[in-house]
Amino acid sequence: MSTVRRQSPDPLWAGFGLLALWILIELLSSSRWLEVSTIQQLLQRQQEDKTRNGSTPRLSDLLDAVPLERRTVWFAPYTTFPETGFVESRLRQGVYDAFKVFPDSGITSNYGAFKLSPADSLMAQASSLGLKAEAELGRRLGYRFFAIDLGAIEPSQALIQLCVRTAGCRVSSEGYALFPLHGSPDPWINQLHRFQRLIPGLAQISAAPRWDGLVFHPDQWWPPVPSSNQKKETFIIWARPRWQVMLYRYDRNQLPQAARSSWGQSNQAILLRLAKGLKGVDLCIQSKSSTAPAQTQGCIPIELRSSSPTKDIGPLLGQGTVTTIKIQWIYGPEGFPYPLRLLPLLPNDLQRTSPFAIEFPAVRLHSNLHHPSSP
Amino acid sequence: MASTGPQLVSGSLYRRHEFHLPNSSRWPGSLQRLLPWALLTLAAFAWWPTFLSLSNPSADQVWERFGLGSACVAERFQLGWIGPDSNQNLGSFTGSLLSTAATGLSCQLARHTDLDPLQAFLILGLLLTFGLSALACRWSGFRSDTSLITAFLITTAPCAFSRVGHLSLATLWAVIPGLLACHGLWRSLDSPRKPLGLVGAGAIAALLCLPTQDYYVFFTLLLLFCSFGLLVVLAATRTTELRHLGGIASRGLLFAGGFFLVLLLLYAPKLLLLTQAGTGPPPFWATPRYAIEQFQYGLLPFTWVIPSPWVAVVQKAFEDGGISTGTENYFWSTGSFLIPIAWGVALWTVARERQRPPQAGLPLQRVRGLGHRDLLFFALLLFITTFVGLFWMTMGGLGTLFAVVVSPVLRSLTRFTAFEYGAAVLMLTALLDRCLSARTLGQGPWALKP
Repeated sequence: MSTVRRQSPDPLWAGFGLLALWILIELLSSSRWLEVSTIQQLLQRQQEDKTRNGSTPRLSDLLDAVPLERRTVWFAPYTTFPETGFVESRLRQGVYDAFKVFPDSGITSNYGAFKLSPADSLMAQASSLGLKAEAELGRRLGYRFFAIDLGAIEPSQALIQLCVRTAGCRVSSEGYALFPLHGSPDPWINQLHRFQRLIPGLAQISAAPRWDGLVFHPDQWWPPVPSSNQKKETFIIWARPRWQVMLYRYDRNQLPQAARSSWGQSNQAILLRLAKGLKGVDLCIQSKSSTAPAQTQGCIPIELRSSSPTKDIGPLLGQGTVTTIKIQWIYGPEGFPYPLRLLPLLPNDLQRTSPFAIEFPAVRLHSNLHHPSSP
Repeated sequence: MASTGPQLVSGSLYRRHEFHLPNSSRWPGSLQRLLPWALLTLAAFAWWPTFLSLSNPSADQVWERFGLGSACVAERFQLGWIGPDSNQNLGSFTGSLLSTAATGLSCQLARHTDLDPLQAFLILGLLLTFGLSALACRWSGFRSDTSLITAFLITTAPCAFSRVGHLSLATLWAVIPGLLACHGLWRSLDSPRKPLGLVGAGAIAALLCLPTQDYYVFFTLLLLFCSFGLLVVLAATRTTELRHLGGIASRGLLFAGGFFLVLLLLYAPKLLLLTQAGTGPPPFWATPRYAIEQFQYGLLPFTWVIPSPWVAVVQKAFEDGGISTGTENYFWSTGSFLIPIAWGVALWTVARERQRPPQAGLPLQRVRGLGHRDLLFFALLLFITTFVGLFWMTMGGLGTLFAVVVSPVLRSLTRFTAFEYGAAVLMLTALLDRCLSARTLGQGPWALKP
């Protein structure tokens, strides 16, 4: 049926030729052959910078004087994904990039190498507990320096002042405050909680904070702060201003043995606390079991008033359940109900727009991390 | 049955008319034998700068990255943050048994050579992508030369090259086999094979995919599902006889069943662990991602068509304009001009099909390559892939709904770019395949004249 015959050259073949040419161009550019000269120039410029004594040295120059085995740096705030982006810093394209161009500096860091590994999980959890917890974990894991990304803190002047006051701390030209981490507790670590809410990208809150059998939904709670109550050691986690926030309480049987025993000893209250400056807040609490959905309770109303600002909700948090705390009404200082969007205007500046918090005893489950003085 | 069945969905119809011209190929035999080695060398050469530009983390850190032999596991349990059966223990990127094996193999490769484990994994990923894509193309009926060209193009895909630091996403071995599984499904709809043979064909297709990341498995299944639905609908436009339609659908289901069964078996360890880890907090609480990411990643489908030479320029313009470009930048998955070009070719193919006179005699016979209907199918596949990408992955599409209502974990569009690029490559290489075959017959690729 089909006849074999000769044809004049088809323009289609010219099309394929052009296509092949274009594929070659894409191949060259995406494999970075076209950037080789730029990379070489960058490296050359770095070499020149090293030889010149500028007023603000680079991070790598600050560490050059340190013996190689002690060039271990914890970069804070820690984020799981170190790909290029703006979340962790407004000054830079990401630490990963910064280190990619000088891989021979010999710096060992917490950044970029642990993605999605158990170590990453550990570091992300420390990060979710705030800068102080990060610094203490870094110290405990043997890091000799703690570099806080100034680009992540807004405004960063107070942090720079803290660095100036701290012996041995330097600010690098890339925008890091490089604190030395000693074996003993450093006084500046206790100041770090002041900066936790000044991180617009808020790396900390992206991971779910875990605390003594409680797990808080990521992005809905601030990092924990120690309570001002000196008699009883408690911690406070403020809710972010949302119509509802969630937390999970572990089933006691699901916890490891060590955690279970210490949890059992502290049968103490888990309190809801009203923010200062508010007349009251009406909440309702609903628990939903992840294993037995049929056991879902109805929404139980809770009223917090400035006359009685705390309420024990321990019994309402079912074990092995996700608990949702919903805001029904917020009453301002005059007693009128407030819409949530006006909450930042309320005079509760100390708590920075949080309508309520959860306060609970600081059980020493992982004592080394949070209480450096304890054994 | 096959001779009376709806011809639209049938590719295998024409296979029985196949004949081979003795030594009709224009390529000398020795050149054909050299081609794979030449392409492999070229691929390795192209990848060399990416190896160079990688940071050189110490081996210990890379072991950590793979989550193997980590001392931190013990510490984590000791701290009591994570219970013994928490789903955070599943946090490694490897999805299935086979990809875990690939990871282990690359670790062994690194142990016995001077290579960094990271580089070992990339080299293994390159070889696997090249080999499995070429195999899948041969299995789908491509000529050997076009199979190798397809494999080369997907191995050096710009969206993989530009994000080589992201290990699991830089290795695209699931993409071409996954797309060709849709082609296999289409061929099976009118195949005279026995039921067990159809299931077996589906199983082979799934094995060629060597499922890697959860993303790619999810996307492959989604594409297969969409292709199946569309093909059955198309078949229904040609025949209204329920017996025929039922036969077509059941044969497709047998193929899809075999495919799904193998995926299930390969995924069994992970699925088993997931069912056991049901008592912890919701799994996506452990993964620090936001619903807003879906907006950022799904915002700009047009990045598909920005080729890598100009990505930096466009990105700079966005940054200067104060537009956020996301946590994990969507510009990392650079597009390619091959995508719009393939779209043009696909539209042209479909338009030519409409001009074809209804009684044009016997359809073009297959000569060592794809048939005319295969070309039409790859046009259809490109349309389906684009539709799925735009509808399921983008802001305003179902992707946003998924992120807000179900889970924010899916970072869709940047991952889907590889599939869009793969479908474009298949369209173009199918046309090349067709041209090379038709050239031996002295016919045009669309073969308007019999």
